[in-house]
Amino acid sequence: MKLELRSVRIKNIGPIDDIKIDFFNASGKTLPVCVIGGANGSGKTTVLEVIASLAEILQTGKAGAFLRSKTNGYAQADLLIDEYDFSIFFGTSPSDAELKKEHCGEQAEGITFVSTPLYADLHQRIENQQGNPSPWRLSGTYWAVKNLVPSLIYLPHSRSLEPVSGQQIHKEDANYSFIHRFQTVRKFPGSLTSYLIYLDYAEPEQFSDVRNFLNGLNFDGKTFHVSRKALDVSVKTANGREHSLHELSSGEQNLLIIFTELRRKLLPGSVVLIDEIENSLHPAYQHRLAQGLLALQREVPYQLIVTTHAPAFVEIFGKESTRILTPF
Amino acid sequence: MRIISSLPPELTDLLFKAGARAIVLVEGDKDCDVLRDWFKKSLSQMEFFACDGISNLNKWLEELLNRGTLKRAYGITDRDFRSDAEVDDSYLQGSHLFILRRYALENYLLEPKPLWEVLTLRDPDIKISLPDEQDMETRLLEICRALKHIVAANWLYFDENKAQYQSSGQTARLEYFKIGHDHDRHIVIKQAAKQLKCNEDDCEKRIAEREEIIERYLTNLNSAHQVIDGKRILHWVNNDHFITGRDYLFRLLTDRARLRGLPNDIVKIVQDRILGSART
Repeated sequence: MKLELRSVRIKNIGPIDDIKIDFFNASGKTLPVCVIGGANGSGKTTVLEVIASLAEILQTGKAGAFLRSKTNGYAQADLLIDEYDFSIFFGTSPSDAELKKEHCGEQAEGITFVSTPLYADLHQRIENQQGNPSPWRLSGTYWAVKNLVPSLIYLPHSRSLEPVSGQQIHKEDANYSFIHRFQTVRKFPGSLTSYLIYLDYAEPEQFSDVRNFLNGLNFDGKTFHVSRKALDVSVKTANGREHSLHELSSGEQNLLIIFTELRRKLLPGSVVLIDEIENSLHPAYQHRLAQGLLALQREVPYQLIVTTHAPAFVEIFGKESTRILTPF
Repeated sequence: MRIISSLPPELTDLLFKAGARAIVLVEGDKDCDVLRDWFKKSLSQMEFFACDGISNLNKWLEELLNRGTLKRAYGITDRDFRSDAEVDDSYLQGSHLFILRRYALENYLLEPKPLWEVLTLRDPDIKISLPDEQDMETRLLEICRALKHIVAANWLYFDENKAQYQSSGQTARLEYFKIGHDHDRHIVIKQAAKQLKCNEDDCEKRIAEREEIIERYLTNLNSAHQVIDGKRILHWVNNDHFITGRDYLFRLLTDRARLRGLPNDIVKIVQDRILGSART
């Protein structure tokens, strides 16, 4: 299965008055990558939050908390699910709103839920998969399941590695989640540190694959190691110095988090949202990240939507793939 | 509802970099460098973009104004050979394209006093040939006079290009004589006759007519700056009195203008018309 985000309509939400962003090109083809640019306060993060919040309706029948607090707003995402056009909406539809024949949504919080048959099918399939072991790229091999529903991966702008060690280490449950939102909290069960330490103990073969992947990211000669004694992950620099994982620079952490989250969670046909992709990155690392994401896309097809202020991403992903949010 | 879809590449680039700031389009990179330097304190409210010529400037400005609703895009263009009436019209209420009152932005860098200061700071011996700023003004007027025939030929090209654009909409144009190719008058007439497809006698007559008009402007430097291209004057000043790279002199004069007080014409355009409108 393949999810493609075709457009999003947002009205009276946050700083946004009334916009519709098209995620397709002049010939109608869905953009594999879309860069959303705009001044501070123009609503870039709002757009990503709205998309993630609307997607929750597919899983739970209710919009995410972000939308539920916007009682006077309206949001609609138009998707292409394989060959089917599908709309998800929240709020009272404005007179000019056009829902696809197949759709689902909440007209008002928890009051009226509207859906067509495709929703029931999708919802059921997501429910069947939710919480079950998933074919993460670095936790094993892909399932050869035809009807596997891809997911939505959202990396909000706050991305850093928190120190996690000892008793804070959780078993890494590589289970499917229709919406995976990266969190920067110590007890985040899917933290990279927990993941690496758990793998080192429980899945040595996989750990070896993961360590090779991390070392292959080429952080200027830095290598990643697990200290069993301290229950911590350490980084050795090219000149022999050693420090904790969370002591990597903020730019390195950003790069590491994006690559490892996608490597761990990305299923073919998914939609990936990254807010402020350039966080703390030197232009050289911006290029490395962009090229890495394109390389990953050739390996595992997915739709990437990023927000940024860095012109390098417009340059690499293309001006025709850029959408400007600032009114002019 | 505002539809956000793909835009022409050059607009995407401008709008991405501008953010919520006013967009000010100028013709060349040098114009951009000077204005960014002079108005660096206001760069949080506006950004200057070079368009590589007047055709692009007109096209992009029109696109921005037609597609946008806030109309925060403006253009500043060289006067070239435009009339006083055309220049005045560009300052009418609601205008977005302002024509400089002098021939080009460089003409605002070439005031006798700051130029003399810059030249004598670099080489005090210049005071022997140019004892004070009055002599500098005289020298600048001499240079303007020496450029008169080239300027006259370029003016004919300007009118020809304008007529062709008005009759056919074609922007293919006769190229001005390049800076540095400051040929003798008879060579200029010969080349211009070829370009304008007329005989040399006729061409000489046409150039002489324009020279006569130009001469009327050369009574003082202020009016000379309206008709003689500052880029050409700068080139001569550099070759005759400064020698080192032209860009260095250009930068020194840009700094000097900022320190001594920016030209009124430019301040009015930027502060009153662009920032003033953007604020309302």
